[in-house]
Amino acid sequence: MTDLWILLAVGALIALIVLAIYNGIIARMNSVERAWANVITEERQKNKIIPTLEGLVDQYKLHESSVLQDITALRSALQELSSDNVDTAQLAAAEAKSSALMKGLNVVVENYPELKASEVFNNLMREVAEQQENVGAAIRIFNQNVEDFNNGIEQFPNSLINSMLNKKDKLNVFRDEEAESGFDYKPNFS
Amino acid sequence: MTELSSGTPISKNRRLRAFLSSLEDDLSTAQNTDDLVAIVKRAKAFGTPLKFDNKIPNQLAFVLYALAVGVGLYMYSIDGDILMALLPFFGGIGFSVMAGLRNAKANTLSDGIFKRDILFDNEMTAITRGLARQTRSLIQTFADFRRGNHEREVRELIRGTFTGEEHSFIYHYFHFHYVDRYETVVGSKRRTVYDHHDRYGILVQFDFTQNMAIQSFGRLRNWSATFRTASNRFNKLYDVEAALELDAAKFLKPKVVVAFEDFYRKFYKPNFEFTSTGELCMSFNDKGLVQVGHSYSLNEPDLFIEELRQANDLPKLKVALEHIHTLMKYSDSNF
Repeated sequence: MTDLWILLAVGALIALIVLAIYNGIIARMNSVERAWANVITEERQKNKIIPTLEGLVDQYKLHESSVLQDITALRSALQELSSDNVDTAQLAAAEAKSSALMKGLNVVVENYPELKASEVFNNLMREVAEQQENVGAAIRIFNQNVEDFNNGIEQFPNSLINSMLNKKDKLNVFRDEEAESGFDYKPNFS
Repeated sequence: MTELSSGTPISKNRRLRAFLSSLEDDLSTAQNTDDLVAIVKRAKAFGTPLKFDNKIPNQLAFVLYALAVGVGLYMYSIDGDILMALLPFFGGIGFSVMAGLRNAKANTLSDGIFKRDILFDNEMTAITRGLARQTRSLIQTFADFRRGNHEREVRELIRGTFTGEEHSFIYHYFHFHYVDRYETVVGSKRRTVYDHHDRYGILVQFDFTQNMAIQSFGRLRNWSATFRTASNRFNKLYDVEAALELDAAKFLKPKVVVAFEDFYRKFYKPNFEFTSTGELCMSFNDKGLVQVGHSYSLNEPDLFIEELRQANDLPKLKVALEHIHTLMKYSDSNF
């Protein structure tokens, strides 16, 4: 009779451990999804600055430059972003458009000293810089959560539970392709 | 011939005592580094090293130690009880301690001069009056000052100004000491235990959020809403409580969240409390933010002056203030 109780207790303990690991994997997946939604929210904050930027284009007659085209390209890239599925390629595309717009604007502004000295422009640039830093920080949080998730499905005994029950795949972290292209070294992750 | 080298030991010691006391008076009224240098120059003119003549107490201590040994041996040979020898022994210790303590006074004065110089270098002012009243006011305002059930005391309050890239603000650095008292049973005896603790931190006016606490060391504030950020790492380090969840969500932007994560690596047990009237109390267990070690003292006046003339920065205090600036920068509106 005692042996039966011991067996039942061990069985219950194992069931509890399996349950905890199963739920832990789900919780970590959810936190990755939330962090991703956060990244998209921060990236979409750039929509807020577009009307101010368009106002400046009108005011300072920047129509001949590529700024207007870059604004349209950024707006369309931001619209394509989805917080429902983790698509780092779409984010990278929006980031590239944003970067192109700012580079273009910085070149154009050199020919418009009045614009460069204006308070609106300086406030705008400060806002853009803070938005970009917030996007960078949101990406860092996302990558941290992805690391937690990947550890949670790859380490034993979680890997066993995942292969039998959760069946989740390892997630990719967000990589800055533009920054990576500047390095000759490529890590050989297997 | 310097003033210190002449006279009998007693008159020399009396003159030195009076001189150190006058230096302390000068220190309390010093307004800048030049005033501190003038104090060191006065010490140099008086004659260094600033040491008391301890010949008499040392001789008395020696006699008492010898007496203790003699009495001890005698008593041991009679009845094995050496209790009587303890009396001269402790007398000897008393004289040795006296000799050591009075020579330590010059070092304490050097520490005081150097501390004052650090405050001047960093444009800070020590607030020495009304600390008891300040303590009572801080206990009313911030939960972090309600630690300890026996004694609470603000031991140091220093006012300073920080000038950042976008914001400048006045701050107060504090050292808070508190005592927890509890009863414990050891064997069959009840004992009262007093645990002494210290918290350090910065008080500043912060107008960008309110009614919120971000805590890693005890959940002292219990507002109605709790908030979890998107960062697993932040959520493991801090508990966030706020009157309104929306306020917490608006304040904890990604850049602010990662700033808090980084801050946790540099400071031990940090807490942040924002009141309804826009005051921030940032506290932690790290001491020595307003301290820099000094290599020289009044006994090496020329080198000490050189050390005082150098700018002594407070890097860890700067890190704490930069963190507050980051919180302000990412909470304000750019338009």
